[in-house]
Amino acid sequence: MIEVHGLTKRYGPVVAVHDLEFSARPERVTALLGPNGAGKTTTLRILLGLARPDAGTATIAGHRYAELHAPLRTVGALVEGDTFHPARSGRAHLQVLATIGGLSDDRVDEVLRVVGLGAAADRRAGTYSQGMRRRLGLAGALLGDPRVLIADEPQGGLDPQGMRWLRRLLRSFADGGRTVLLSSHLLGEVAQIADDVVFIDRGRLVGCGALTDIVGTGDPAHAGRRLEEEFLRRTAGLAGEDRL
Amino acid sequence: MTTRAEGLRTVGRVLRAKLFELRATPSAWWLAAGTAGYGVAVVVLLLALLDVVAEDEGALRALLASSGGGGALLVLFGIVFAAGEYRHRTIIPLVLAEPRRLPALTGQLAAYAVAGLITGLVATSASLVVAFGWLSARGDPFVLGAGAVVAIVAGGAVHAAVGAVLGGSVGTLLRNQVAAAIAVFVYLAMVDPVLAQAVPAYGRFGPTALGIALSGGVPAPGGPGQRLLPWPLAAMVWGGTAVLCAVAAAAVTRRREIS
Repeated sequence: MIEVHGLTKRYGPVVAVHDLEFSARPERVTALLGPNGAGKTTTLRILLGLARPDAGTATIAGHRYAELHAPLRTVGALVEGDTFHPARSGRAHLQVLATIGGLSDDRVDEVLRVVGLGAAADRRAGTYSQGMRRRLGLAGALLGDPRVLIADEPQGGLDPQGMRWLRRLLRSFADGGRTVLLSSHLLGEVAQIADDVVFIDRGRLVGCGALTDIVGTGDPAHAGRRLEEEFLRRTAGLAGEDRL
Repeated sequence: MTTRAEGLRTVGRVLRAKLFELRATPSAWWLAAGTAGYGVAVVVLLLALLDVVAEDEGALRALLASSGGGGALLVLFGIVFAAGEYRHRTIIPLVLAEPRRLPALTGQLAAYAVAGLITGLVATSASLVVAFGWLSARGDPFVLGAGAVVAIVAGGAVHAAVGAVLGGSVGTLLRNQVAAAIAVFVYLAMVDPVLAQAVPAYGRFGPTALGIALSGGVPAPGGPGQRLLPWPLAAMVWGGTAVLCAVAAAAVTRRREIS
């Protein structure tokens, strides 16, 4: 269970997140949605202990990230962009993580298989395609077989097959009783996978609820369009031309 | 609440992980080879150009200890890898895997110290072997006793190990890998030798002179640090500088936001 209460974060005069409240529950995929600069990444960074809030709390299983006893076994995290040394192999990157996290090397081979990087594991990660880099990031997130997965724009760089693979992965993760919180711009993708959505804009909560309550239970093929309409409606007063 | 035992276990895990990481990174091998190559090159050049009198123990000690100054290059090594954590954003998986930042930084700096120690041992030993071979080929006796040889090797290794910690701390503080590496390279290659000549009071405290002093050397005529510190004092100055930088790095790292 992920809980965010009264979360506020300022960068100088800019309020990145303001009094944010939401939760993400086990067995559900929760999508954090908002335009660029809405505060999604800042919120996830605070949850992961990479940034400090000015007020409020962001906890995972009742604890701040820094207080987690075995963080890799509790939370898998996928952040935006690459987080590996380009001259080291994908396998070496994961072995370093496994050693720090007190995990066995067998787990490294296992997650490499799960993300489909087994054949490329010993290649330098700098030679990987965008999709392979994303898969390596996911392998790192899954390394500790965590109960919670937090992913910032997980679809970035994935091709259509990769998107489908990711949907299945996240779905099976949540169906196994685990918690998934992701941020995304790809509303069509979100509509296919999310159970709950949280809309934020300019750091403020502008809506949340079960996806079916928001887009209805009609034709799933049109769910993405309905979610987009809802997204634009909820952020319309703050989005549009004044952002350009 | 982290107990001391938990903290030590964390340090141990990060140390092992970072040592593996260094082994898996080609640039670590290149930097270590460069350090050894520098030491050997200094010995060869001095033997070839200055025609060191082998019977003179002082001159031979100065020659070998000068090669130990290459340990200062390990400062560069520490900077490249510590600041590289921010350049390549590998700091993010590190703090996600181990959010207790002080034990993580300690393990990281300990890994640099071990890498520096091994590199220093290899570099100084290589210089000794080359000097011994050169003098033997010339038919000169190798007049240094075992004690002096051990002191030179140990001093060079310790200088390199502490230099790596110092560099790791500076790299953690500055984060900009390229700027930090260029600044330190310019300092070691240009500012330090010039200051050592121009400001006698500084000469004994420069990283190269401290390396020579730690290796139990006597100063080369006209070289940096013509009046060297006694080795225990040199160790205190070099180690103290590293500890101060490490404490500053720890204080900053503890509260730093990672992006």
